[in-house]
Amino acid sequence: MIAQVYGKRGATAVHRYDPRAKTLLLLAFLVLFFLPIRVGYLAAYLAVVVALSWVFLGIPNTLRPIRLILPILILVLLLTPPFYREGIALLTIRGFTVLSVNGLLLALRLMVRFSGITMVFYLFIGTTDPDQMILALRWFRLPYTMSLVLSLALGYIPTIRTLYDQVRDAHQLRLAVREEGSRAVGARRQGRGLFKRLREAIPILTSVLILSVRRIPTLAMALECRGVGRKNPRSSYHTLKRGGALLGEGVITAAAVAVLVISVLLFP
Amino acid sequence: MTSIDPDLSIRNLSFSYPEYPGIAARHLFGGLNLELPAGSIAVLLARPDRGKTTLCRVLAGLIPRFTGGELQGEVSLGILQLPEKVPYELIEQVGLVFQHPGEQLLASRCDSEVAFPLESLGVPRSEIETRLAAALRTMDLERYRYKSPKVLSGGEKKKLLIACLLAVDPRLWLLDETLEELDSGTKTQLLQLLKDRRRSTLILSAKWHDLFREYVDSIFLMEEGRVRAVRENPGSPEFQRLLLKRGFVLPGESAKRANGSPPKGSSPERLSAGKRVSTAPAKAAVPEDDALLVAEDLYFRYEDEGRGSGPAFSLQIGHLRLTAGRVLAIVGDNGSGKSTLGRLLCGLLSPGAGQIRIRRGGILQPAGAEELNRYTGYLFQDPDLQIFLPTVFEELALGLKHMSLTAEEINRRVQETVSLFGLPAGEAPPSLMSYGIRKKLQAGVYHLLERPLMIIDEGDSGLSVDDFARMVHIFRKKAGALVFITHDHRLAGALADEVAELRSGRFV
Repeated sequence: MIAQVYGKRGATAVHRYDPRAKTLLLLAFLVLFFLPIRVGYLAAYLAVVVALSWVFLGIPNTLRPIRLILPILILVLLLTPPFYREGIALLTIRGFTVLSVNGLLLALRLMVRFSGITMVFYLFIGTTDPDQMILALRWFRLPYTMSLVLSLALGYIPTIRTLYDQVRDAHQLRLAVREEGSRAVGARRQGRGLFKRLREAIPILTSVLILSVRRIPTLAMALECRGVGRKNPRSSYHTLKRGGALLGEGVITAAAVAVLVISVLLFP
Repeated sequence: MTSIDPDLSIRNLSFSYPEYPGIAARHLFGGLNLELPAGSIAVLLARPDRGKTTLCRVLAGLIPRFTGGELQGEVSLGILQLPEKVPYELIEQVGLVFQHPGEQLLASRCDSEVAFPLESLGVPRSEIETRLAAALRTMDLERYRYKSPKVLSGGEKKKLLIACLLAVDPRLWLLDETLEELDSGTKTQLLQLLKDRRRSTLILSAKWHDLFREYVDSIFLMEEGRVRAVRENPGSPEFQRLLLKRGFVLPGESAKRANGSPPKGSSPERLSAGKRVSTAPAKAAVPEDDALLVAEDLYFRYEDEGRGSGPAFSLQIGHLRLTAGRVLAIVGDNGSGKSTLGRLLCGLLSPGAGQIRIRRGGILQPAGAEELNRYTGYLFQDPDLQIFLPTVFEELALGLKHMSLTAEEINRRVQETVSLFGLPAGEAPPSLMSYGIRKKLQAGVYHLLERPLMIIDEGDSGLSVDDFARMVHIFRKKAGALVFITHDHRLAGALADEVAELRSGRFV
């Protein structure tokens, strides 16, 4: 998912935007989505993030994360209301409240919050080169090792996606179970039921988990072979923006954060 | 082979892996001695699972640091005592290229990958820029500079790792089966470079390459936990007999070399032992009675990965016919599209244009991805992507469980396969097995699936040639048709009925 946005690095203004500014915007939006404000307002902020993604990354890239989390959103919608039955009952079966206004509002809040967090990560982190991310985190005075770990963890998302594709291919051949289309030009995508796809994904996800765990020691070896752990000062091949461009983006970021603060105060 | 002033000196090295639940401690080396003079290139030949990777990792400081186990003996590089050092302190002294390149690549871009160790060393930015540009240029990877290493082929990934070492230029180079999966031009270039730079180099290999004769100063054999220097002249019949006996060459190859066939500058055609180099056989000229698969006018290009700054890579195959009982070898340089063709033939990729027909019910019929998945077995270049389960038995039995067989029948077939491929006992955990043995297990898995067409992608990497020849023999008997992908023209010529060469996505 994120790999495909990385692949377009430099292609849009949001890709070129300073990673320090993106980190600040990310934090501002994360705080926002956790604030106990009205669901309607939260949805409005989500709409803003979706609109930004739509404008800068295009429709397919905006729909991709939403499609990815859709099964979780459906589960939240189905499973939250029966456990929170306070408030006006909307659906009662044999005296048992299955759906209430409060339960529905809570489900919607969780859905909007989860979608918002996913979208801001996708928009701000997914468009940032991991090397730039490390520089930004170091600029915020995080130690290099911690910045590297955070960057590797975030960078591992596309790796897992690649691994998932490769393992899916292996399962597909070995068990002759076909899941979805391929990356080829002209490849056909076959529609199938959500639950069938989820069921088929379980062995693939299990294999991906096993392979990921198995890779931990080799990853550690690879890092030490590249000198991670040395005590000498580290230099940097990549650089962060300076001068007028940074000033302009800093002003835009400050203005955006101010607008968010004011809007939260005006519409609690 | 002892020198007065060795650069690398290993004395009385012994190592045992720790015990794991249900698995006894494995004693790998005992009294291992090796000396490498400064600036010399040595090759250490050993069959799979004899401890090549472990030895490399001991020298790089990774073992026993990351695995546990008991290490004894002396290992020194000049005045440095290596076991006293941690890997990150050694990066200017010891450079290691992992056997499995995917495990060592960390960065999101090729240039960042090369720059990473230089940043760790605190090299100024301007010098990083100069060194990485030179390293990428030397390995012919400039066009991938801003691309993700993930889009590179297996061989190109190894080239990128070599570029990382070139940029750092350590004193001792450890190449763990690095020459496997590299095309012959890159192999020659790498060896020449090491010779010119006079870097102490230890190449570990399960296979004898003719290039060694020209570039290598000393040859060692590793057997039963010990290393011995080979004193026979590499051109002599005695040496050829030794290679043959240990399974580092095939019988036909050995005879040819002993008769003095030239290793250098030989064209793939001449190296193919008299086998015809296929150039996309003309469709009108061949009957299709015995064809199992026919591909026509195939076209494929990757959607948006843009593997380079030049035009996007595309594969174009006019006509390809795979015949029952025949073995086709596909050779070609790194990134020429060999694996892409393999993935098209087994339905993991769908062509943008063209058609693949397979024989069903006695006639050739167009096949979609699902039919090709069921018809073709494909051994990935990376065995770890096809091995997930905790034991050898479970791994082999998985496919059989989907065939509605009885438990006794599953057990019988698994035992038969274990014996056929020389695998460890059924309860052995694949995660603790060597790369070569994991490749054999991967082959065993597909052997049990009984597919009419088998494709082996760089299956010879990590295996000795006699192991690979045996694998080809087993699949030749079992499958209707067999395709194997390799960089080794000589091996292709010796084992295949037909050899086809891909260059930039086209048969030449």
